[in-house]
Amino acid sequence: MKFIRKLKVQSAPSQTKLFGGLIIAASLMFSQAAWAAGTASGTAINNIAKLGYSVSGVAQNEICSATGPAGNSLGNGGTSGTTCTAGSNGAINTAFVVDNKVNLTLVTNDVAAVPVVPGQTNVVTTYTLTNTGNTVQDYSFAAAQLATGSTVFTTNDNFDTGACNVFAETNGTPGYQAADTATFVDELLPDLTKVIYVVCASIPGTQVNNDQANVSLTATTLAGGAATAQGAALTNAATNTAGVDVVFADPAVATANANNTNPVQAGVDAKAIANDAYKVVSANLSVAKTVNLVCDPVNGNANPKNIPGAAVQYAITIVNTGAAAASLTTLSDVLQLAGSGPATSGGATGIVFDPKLNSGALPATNCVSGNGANTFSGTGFAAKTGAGIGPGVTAPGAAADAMTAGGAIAGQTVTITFSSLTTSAIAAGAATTLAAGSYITVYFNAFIQ
Amino acid sequence: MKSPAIQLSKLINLSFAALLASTISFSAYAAGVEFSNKAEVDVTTIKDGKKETKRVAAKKVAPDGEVIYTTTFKNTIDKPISNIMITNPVPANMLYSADSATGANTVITYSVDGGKTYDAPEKLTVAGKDGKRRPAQAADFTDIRWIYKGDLATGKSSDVGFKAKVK
Repeated sequence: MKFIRKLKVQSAPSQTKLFGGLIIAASLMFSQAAWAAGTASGTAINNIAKLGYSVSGVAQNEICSATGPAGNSLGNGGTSGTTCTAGSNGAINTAFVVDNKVNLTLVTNDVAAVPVVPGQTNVVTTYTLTNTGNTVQDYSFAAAQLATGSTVFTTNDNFDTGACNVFAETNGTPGYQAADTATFVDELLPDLTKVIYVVCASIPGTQVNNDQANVSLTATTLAGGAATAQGAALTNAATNTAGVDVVFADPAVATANANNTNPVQAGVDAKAIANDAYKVVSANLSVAKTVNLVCDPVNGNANPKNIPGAAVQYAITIVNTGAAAASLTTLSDVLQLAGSGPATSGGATGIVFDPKLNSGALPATNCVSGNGANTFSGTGFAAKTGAGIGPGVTAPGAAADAMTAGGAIAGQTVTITFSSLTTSAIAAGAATTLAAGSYITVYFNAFIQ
Repeated sequence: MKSPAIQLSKLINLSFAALLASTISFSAYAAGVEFSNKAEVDVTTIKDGKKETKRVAAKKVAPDGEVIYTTTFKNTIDKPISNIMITNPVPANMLYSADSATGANTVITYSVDGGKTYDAPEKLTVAGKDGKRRPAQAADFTDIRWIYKGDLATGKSSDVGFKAKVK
C-alpha cells in the first residue's frame, strides 16, 4: 500500500499565534509588576511542544507533546494550526511549579551617622527591609553594638549606647514614634519594603563631640502565611521535594561598601545585615562681652574719654563652635548701679542704660542719654548675626541692627529674649536657633554717671 | 495504488480519532510518530569531594533556576518521515537562555511575536521602550522552531531542546 498525498509545506500555525500572544502579554505584565522578586512560589509552569511532519511528502496531522518516555503519538489536530493546550488534541503539560526563593535586602536610610547629644534618650537609626524573594515572608530582627574600633561612616566606634530595641513601622507616620510597636515584620509581600527602626535607650552624658557608637541590625527571614503571628524559622531545603521547597538565595557580601553600612556577611542564610552609627555632635557656646567708648559730652565722638557723662557700648557675642545647633533662650546682664563703684571714685560711679542707642554724632551736646537726634534704635538695643565667630561690633554700631523687640531693661537688669528678638535682618523667632559655626551679637549703650 | 477507502479500513484499528480526521482530509496518518516532552534540571552534588551533576525531572524550581526542555520524536511507522517541524513556546514566567537551543540536523529559528513569524536571531527585532526597533535578545524569544533536515528513517528517534530560566 502506498500513501499518496500532496506535499504540503508547513507554515506557522495560526492557533499558536494566539497562544504565543498570551505569552507576550504575560511577559510584559511580569516585567512591570514582579520582575525583581521573580515568579510567585507555587506558580505552575507548563509547556507543550508541537510536531509537524510528512510521510512520503504528505503533511500529517500535527502532534501535541505529552510527558513520559513514549510521549504522545496521536495526531488529533490539523495539518497546521493545531492548538496544543492541555486536555485538547492529546496534549499533556510538561509542568513544574516554582519554589519559595528566599532573598532580602536590608539597607540603612541614614546617609551619615545619626547626630546625637550627650544624655539624649531613644536615639533612632532607620533602615529599609525589602523582600526580594518570591513569597510572602515574616522577618525577625536583632540589634547589636559593634565592637570598639569598628568603623562605620569612616569613624571608629568608641562607646556603646544604652540597650537597643527594634521596631517596624506600625502607624504609617514616617519616622519613629512611640506608636511604632511592631517587633517583627508580618506578611511582607514580594518586592515590598518595610521601614525598620533601631531605638537605643540613651547616649551616656559623659560622651563628647565626635564620639561614635556603631550598631548593626540583622534581619532574618521567617515563614509567612500566618497573619499577625511571627512565623517559624526557615530551613534551606537540602533536596528537591514534592512540596514547595524553601531555597535560600540571599547573596554573600564579600567586600563591605565604603561606609561599611553593608558589611561583609555570609550568604544563603536567609539573613541580611546593615550597620549604622550614632555620632555625638553637641553645641559648644562661648560668650564674650566687650566695651567701647561711643562719645563724651566734651569731645563728642572725636577721641572720646571715659569721663562722667560719656557713653560706652557693651557688645555681648555668643559663638557656637560646636557641631550642633544650640537653642538660645535668654541672656541677662546687670549694669552697675550708682553708688556701687570703687572707692577711688567715691563709690558713686554707676552706669545708666541709654534707651536710644546714641550714635555719638556731633555736636558733643548730643552725647546724652535718650538723645532723640542721635538715635540708632528706639528700643536701645541692636543685634546682628552671621557665620563664623563674628566681626565684633565697632562702636557706635549701625541703625540697620536696631532691635524692634526682644530687649528689655528693668532697673539695672538687661534681658534679651531670643525667641522675640527682631531686627530688619533677623525675623522674629530666627534668633532662637544658633547654628553650629555661627554667632549672634547683641549690643546697647550705657552712660557713665 | 489503492483507493483511500482501503487505506481508511486499515487505519481504523489504529485510531478512531485519526479516522475522524482522515474522513475530512487525506493527510492524517495516525500513530506515525511518538512525541514526548520533558522538563529537567541539573542538580550538582558533591560526593567524595567530586562534583557530580545529575539531570533530574523538574518538579520545583526557584526563580533564576534553569530548566532543560527536551523534546523527543521517534518514527514508529514503516516509512521514513520528512518535513519534520517542531515548535515549542517558551513558557510564561520563563526566559529563554541564550544559545541554548539544540537539535541535531536541524535548522533552528526563533519567534519574537508569539509564533507568527520565525527567523534567525540576528534578523529579529523588537520594539524598544523608545518605540524604535532594536535587535532582539534571547530574553525576547517567545517561541522556538526546529526544522529537521531530510528524512527520519523508520525506528529512528532524535531530539531537540532548549533551556530557560524561571523569572
